[in-house]
Amino acid sequence: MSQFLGQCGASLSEADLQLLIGRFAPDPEQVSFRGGCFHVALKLPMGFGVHFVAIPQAARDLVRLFIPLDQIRGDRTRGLIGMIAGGLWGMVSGKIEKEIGRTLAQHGLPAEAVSVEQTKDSAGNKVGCVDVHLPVINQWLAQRPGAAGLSLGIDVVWATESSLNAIFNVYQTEPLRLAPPPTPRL
Amino acid sequence: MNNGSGSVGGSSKIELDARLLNSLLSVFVNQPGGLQVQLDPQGQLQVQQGDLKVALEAVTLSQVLRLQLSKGQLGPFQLQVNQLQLGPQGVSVALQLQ
Repeated sequence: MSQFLGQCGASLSEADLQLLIGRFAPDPEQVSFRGGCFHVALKLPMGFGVHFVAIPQAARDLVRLFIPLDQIRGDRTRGLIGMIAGGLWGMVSGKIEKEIGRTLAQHGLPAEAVSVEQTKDSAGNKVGCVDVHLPVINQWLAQRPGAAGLSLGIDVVWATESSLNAIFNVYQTEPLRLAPPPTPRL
Repeated sequence: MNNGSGSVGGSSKIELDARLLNSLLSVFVNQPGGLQVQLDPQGQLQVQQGDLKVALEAVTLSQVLRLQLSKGQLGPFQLQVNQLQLGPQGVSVALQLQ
């Protein structure tokens, strides 16, 4: 039975997040974080590349990434992809699902951790939506051996113009086995 | 935990709330009948061993510290700690990765 110990917050500046993406992303040139948004470049099976903006928003039990379909741009086709992006969403979302599926499998995360769908924003514009389901991620985190008998759960994730922020719940998963205190020398 | 806080002045930040800080002190530092360290509601760090009591008042340290960090395939990273703040809310560390 794990015991709740408290919360810790982490706020990563744009520069630090960029440094981490450069170190750990499988293809760092594909992803960057600027102005509170992720900028993603993808190669589609048809041979041309597209880039799009993914805007993180916090929701209950979710981190939701909104992808405005009218801002999807092609690398060689100038405005053409933008114009027909709504129609291309199926292909773009298929590629996103494939990339996410590969990454989840690599880390042993269940496929239900992330879902991709199309919806409309509050202004009625079509947007792509990538939902990261925090309860599924937290269940996975709880099953992993944490450092020093501690484990983390994600409470909320949100972005500002200059940072990506998260609050974590910290749990003690197993009783600590402390070494006996040193005997004082006389 | 302050939901409105983001990075300040280009720094990243790590914050531990008072409850977590006290829990970690209880788990890792405090010894039954021995050393006791707790953050009180006024932001003072109370240290007690036997009849010796020391109270460290809420403090902000702005001395820059540089740390090297490496773990397995993670790193090496250089962490520059720009500020450490201890207060009623807990502890907050402003840092930059290099």
